[in-house]
Amino acid sequence: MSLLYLQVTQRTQPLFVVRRSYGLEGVLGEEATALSVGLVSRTHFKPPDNAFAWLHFDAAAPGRSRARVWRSEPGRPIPADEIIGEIRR
Amino acid sequence: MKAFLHMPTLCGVAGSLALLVTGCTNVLGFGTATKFALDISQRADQSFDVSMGYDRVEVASIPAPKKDDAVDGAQPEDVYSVLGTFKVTYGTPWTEGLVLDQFFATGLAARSAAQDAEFQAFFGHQAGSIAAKQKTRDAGTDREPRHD
Repeated sequence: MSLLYLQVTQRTQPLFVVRRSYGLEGVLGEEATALSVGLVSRTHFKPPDNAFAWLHFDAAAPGRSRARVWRSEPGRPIPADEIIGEIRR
Repeated sequence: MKAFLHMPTLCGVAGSLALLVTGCTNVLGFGTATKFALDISQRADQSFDVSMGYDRVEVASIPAPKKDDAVDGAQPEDVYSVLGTFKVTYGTPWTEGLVLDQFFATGLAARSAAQDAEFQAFFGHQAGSIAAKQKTRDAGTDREPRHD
């Protein structure tokens, strides 16, 4: 095992991904003075197959994000009360 | 030498990039993107120049299957079953951040939910609320009602 290299195997597919990129450029010279800032934020929600998936995400409080997945199985009743109750919370 | 970029070429490049990003596979998903940029500059003999850009995008992708793909519907040409509701709230990046509330039922789960009385009532209520809000908004702005 290396501190510089760590292989992660059997990684599960993420349900929700948020990526933010920030950029800042400053120019201070005889010919020009400039300040540029940039921000790109992307989110991607990929629900799993044959399942119910629910997500609540607040960018102001990302630590309080909540997500739940209920798998659907043939012959098993769907927990409609539980799912709808979670969505309405 | 001048380089010319024609619109069809740009569209082709954009399409290729989109395929590259999605991995050319059937991807069911919902995505958002927010872009903001600010540039303040001044050249030696000119006044200040301020440029600002802001853009938001919401995209839902529900691909149709190819002939060889596995399908959950009875008909081979059926599109993958999806039932969902999503709410996106956002303001400026400083005053009100992005808030997402999303619910999706996919495949067999969507087909089961479509036949469930509780889910039918829930989605009917959601659709009614959206239509009522749209009607109020249209009345407030004296616009023609939208039929989405």
